Amino acid sequence: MNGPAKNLLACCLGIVLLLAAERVAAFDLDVREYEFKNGLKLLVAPDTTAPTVSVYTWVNAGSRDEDRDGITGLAHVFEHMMFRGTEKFPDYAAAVAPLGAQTNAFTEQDYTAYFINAESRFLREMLELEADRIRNLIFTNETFRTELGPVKEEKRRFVDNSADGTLDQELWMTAFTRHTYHHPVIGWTEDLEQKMQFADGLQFKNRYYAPNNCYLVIAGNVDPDQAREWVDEFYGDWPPGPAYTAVVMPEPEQTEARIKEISWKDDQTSPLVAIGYHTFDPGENLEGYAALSLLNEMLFSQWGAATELLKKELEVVESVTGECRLSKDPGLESIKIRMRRGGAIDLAIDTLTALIESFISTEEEPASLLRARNSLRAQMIYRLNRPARVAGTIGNYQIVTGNHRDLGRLYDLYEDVPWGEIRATAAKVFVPERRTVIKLIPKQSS
Amino acid sequence: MNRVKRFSTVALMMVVIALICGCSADSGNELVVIEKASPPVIYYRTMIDAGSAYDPEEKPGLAYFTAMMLNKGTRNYSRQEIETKLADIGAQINISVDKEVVVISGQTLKENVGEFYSIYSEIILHPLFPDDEVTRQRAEQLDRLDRIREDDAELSLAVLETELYAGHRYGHLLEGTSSAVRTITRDDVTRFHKRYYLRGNTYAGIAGAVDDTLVARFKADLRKLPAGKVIRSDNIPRNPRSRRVILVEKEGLTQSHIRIGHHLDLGRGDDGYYPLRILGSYLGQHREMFGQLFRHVRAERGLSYGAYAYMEYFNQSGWSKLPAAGIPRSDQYFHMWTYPKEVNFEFCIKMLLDEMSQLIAEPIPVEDVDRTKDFLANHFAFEIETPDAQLGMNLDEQWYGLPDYVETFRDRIESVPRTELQTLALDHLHPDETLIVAVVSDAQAAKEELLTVSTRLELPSGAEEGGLKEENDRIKMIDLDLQPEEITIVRGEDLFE
Repeated sequence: MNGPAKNLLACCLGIVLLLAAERVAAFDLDVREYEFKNGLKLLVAPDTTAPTVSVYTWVNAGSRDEDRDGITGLAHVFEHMMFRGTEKFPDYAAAVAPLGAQTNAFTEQDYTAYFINAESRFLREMLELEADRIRNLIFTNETFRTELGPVKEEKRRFVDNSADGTLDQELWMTAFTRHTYHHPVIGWTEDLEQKMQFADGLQFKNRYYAPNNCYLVIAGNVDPDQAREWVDEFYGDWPPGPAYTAVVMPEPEQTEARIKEISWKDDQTSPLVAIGYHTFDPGENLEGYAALSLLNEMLFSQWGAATELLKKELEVVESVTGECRLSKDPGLESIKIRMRRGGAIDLAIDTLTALIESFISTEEEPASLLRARNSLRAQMIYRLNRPARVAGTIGNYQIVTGNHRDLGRLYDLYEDVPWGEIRATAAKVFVPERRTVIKLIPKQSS
Repeated sequence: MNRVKRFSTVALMMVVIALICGCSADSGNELVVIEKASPPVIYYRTMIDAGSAYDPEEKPGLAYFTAMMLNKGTRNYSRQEIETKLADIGAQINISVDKEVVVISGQTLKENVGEFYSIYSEIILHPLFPDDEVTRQRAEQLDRLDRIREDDAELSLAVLETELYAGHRYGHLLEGTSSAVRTITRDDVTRFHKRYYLRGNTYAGIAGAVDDTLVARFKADLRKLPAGKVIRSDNIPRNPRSRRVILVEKEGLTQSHIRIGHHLDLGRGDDGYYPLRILGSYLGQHREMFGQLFRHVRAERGLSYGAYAYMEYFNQSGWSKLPAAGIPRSDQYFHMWTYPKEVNFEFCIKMLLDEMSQLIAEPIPVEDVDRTKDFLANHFAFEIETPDAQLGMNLDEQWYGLPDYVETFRDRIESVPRTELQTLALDHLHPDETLIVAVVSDAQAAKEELLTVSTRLELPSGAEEGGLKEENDRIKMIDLDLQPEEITIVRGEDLFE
């Protein structure tokens, strides 16, 4: 058995020991790091027991980096453009298909990620294709205009005609007033329809699609030295870019609760509520992030206290969820409530608020904390069950917190963060004046 | 890129790392065991012939109701205890339901196998269906029906399936109807459970860091299931004799969802299945960009975010592009799906039907056949990428009675002659006998549009029609040949009540 497999086994055995005893060794994968002369960084996580390999390209630019009016959604539009071919491979889809590869991409507030997964014997071809399109994309006004069509249909599908999507958009738009987290990843319709120009796309590409703004992550059945050689072959002479840093305004402290009610166009939807609380920079405060994640598990998991109380006892909601996503800048603790028809919205909000307060004021460690610790740590083990998940996970930490080892740190923190720290974090986050509440009311209910 | 040679490292890898053995579970069905020592995780899967196809006529939704109640209280554990004990050890149990089967899957760290298994086996053997949980499940199932009415993608598929299978045992939603769900009682659930949760109806397997003790215990427990097997009595669904349209009206929409489909008289056990898969992949592989529908609807014209085709029932597994295992069906249907802006709905219907007709009229170019075959053969690696995935596939093999499906899939795809594809399309695809379902905001206007000659097309602002104009004009002129009585209008809110 090789080093990485040993390490994975060690980490898995670690949790087993943890669950049975008091302490566990640090969670860590065998990740090799390389940096090329042009600034491109490469992480390789080998696992020779895997039949496949995954290549992720992380571009350090998302909707957060759309730093002026009229270009909201551009990072995502550009992601679409990246599938439109090059001189060498004019038809990217046709070039990838014979490999039997899974390929796709996603844009978030903090980054854009592209992936290709296939049997490991195709790694060289995969790298050649990925390098070629990021370096030599054919980007024309004609294809740009055409691609705006599917983007707008994507927005209609997941935002304009989706109550959940609309609610999420309203929450971030209301909670953030100056920071670019204010606008949705998919952009404002007005920008997509009218303002966004081909020249904007070209500028975005030149600013951000450069080796010194990208991470390459390879996981799976791969020889790290061979992978490094091939990366050097296909990316080594890619010239570095201007190292542009987006002008992102810090979000001023929220000092007054914000409440908004929006009406929804049909009556098939249940009333929805989103509650957002401003948080902190997880990269600078990973302990706080772990604390909040543990609290979310204790409150909103299938067995969580809020689920039990609001859904199963009072039966006023269909579901209640809470999460705090990793983000580069201070983001949101985001709670979503799907009301049951006839359920009283204010009762649900007040009950939930009181429940959170009761957690904060409880000095004695609840029995559910150990449950949350074990549950979150096991989920991390289950999640890393295939190369695509490994590359996706370590790349996400690298690009957002700046350190892929935070994955292992978080695994340890889930065990170590004391109840007092969790309470203190919650007390700082769940502040009434820093809260934004959006109520989405279907036509009939209003 | 040159055509890629296929050499199955995955198959070899699986031989090395996995040992599959058949152990009689005293039922004719073998317990599937897949060993992979690292990481120390164990996966369980139990599949039972107790899906919605077995619902009594007057109680659609009972099978789903019963399955969802399995983990809501057992002889030794309350629902809350099950949830908290599983969380205590970081384990998970999930229940899914389809037309034919219920699947109870679980995963745990090996260290906790004893605690986990005591709960898992109770769910299989001794569910109690407590009254208060019955009440709760009733409310949750009604919520679930609301969600289907809310989500246009789900709603369009639900209407397509229930209409295609009207009169057949697949002809109702898994979740039933709101009125039927309100009448389901604990007695109904216990009767259903007693009748169908039988040894002979059960397919089970275990994968990962398993050992002999665990295998023996699982086998012994499966023998405790009541003996017996319920034999399916299939009636054969028929296609509509002519094209038919159902317009589902929902207020305020700005995008329509279109599903076009018909029954297939081929399934996984037929020789024609493999060429059919090639045709489906070429036409519109799910969430891939090389399919004809995706190319022409999205990439060239920018009309929709997605356009896909399916040759057997496809239920996406989470956010992956793979179908979930554990959804075997004795009858399959073909369908295409896209979701354009409403103004383009008729044009897209014509486009999809035209693409379907092209498969019959023209042979697929050699390079496209080769590319599609390579895709399917090499992509299969993902369907058996993990022990859990392989377990699901092996149980599906058992259910279909096709023990070498996984082993031979690639070869059978590769050996399909190109000439067979067009013949197969001619024999099994029927553009004139399709059911068309469209979710729209103004059904009356949509109906009138379908009955008139003119067809609207609105390209993305600023996009040029360019070289596509002639082709677009040809598509606009396609005669859908619909009569007013072949177009039905229903309101979304009235469905599945």
